Amino acid sequence: MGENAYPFDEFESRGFCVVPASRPESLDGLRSHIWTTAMRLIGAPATEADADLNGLHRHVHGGDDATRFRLALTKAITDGFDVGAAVFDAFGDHLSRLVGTDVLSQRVPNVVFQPPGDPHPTELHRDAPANSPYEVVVWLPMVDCFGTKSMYVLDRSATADALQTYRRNPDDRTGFQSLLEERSIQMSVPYGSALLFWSALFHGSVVNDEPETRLSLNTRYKNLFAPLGMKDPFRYFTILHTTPLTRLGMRFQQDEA
Amino acid sequence: MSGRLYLGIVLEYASTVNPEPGVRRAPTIDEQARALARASASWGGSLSHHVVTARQNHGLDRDVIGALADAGATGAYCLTIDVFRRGDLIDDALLADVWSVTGCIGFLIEDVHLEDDGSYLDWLDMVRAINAVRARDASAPWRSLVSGGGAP
Repeated sequence: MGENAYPFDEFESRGFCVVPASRPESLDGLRSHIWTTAMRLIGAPATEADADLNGLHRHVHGGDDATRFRLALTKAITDGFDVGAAVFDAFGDHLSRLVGTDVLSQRVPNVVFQPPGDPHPTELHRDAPANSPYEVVVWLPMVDCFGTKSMYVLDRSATADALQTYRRNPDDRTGFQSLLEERSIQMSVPYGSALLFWSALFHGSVVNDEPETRLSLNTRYKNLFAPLGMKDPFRYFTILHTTPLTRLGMRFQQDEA
Repeated sequence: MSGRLYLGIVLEYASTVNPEPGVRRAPTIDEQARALARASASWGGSLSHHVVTARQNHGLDRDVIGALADAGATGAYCLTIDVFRRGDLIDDALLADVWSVTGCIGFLIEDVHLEDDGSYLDWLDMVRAINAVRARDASAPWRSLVSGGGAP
């Protein structure tokens, strides 16, 4: 294996890795689009990306206000702009090693806006088996994320233990919570990097106790020919790339049929 | 603005209650037709008075090709790609025939509107690939392989 094997060894053994953008200029372009769109929506001038995004809570409060802002931002940033393609472009060297080059991309990314103290973090869950276990989740912060401002994952071993604990004692919430507190890993992901994690890992977030807003995206990719989950692929995914060879092969099969 | 006349293709759900995850009741044919009319207008076109109905999991009859001609339609607007679905698989041959007649197909639920060859071929590639994946995933040899039994 070459010198780039490290993050993918970790991905396979633990189910996740943090990687820097392979094309930082693409990531900067995406963040600039999101930043200026967010400031336009709240009617404030765009002055400096880090400060503006970390301080979004000064303009948008929690609860329904936060939900309305998040939905409006999702719609505005995806209107005429392919966020999934932009994320893949920024992290393509890494993502191609996981899903190959015939790729389905989540149609609409999830935007997470978590102001300080917001009482609605993301509850513990895992995407698979509703999603395919052949999907990778890209968790992409628009600001530096650390501590409670970030998210947590349970690695492969901890996820397996959590499942076993739950299945043996589904009513033992105390035991499950203890395992969660002992084994969850609070991720530190600076802007410029992304957390890539396997869809079958448990993950979630806690109340953001930092004095700054967390704004992040999460989106998913899978190989076009990998097994499906339960979600309808036509509603959830769009085709991002196919190789010339794949296109030739598919036309050949069609013509022969 | 296209000025197209779209033939509406609606879906008769197999169950009117909880027809799919997250949906409490199936939209009626009339509700679907109104939604397709709004979608057609959003592309600068209009919906034909007559709509064609597909049955969930049974797909469309080939009569749809005649219906397109009878209506003088220059596009088809479908509630969902599932109007072409027979069991697990999309009837890609009929989809291709509808495209060859109209050169324009929309899918309301999937929020897709195709009217150039490149976009259509990308979409068709995805349809055919998903068909192949679904057929493989449902096959006994594949289930044996992924369950650790090895290829039979």
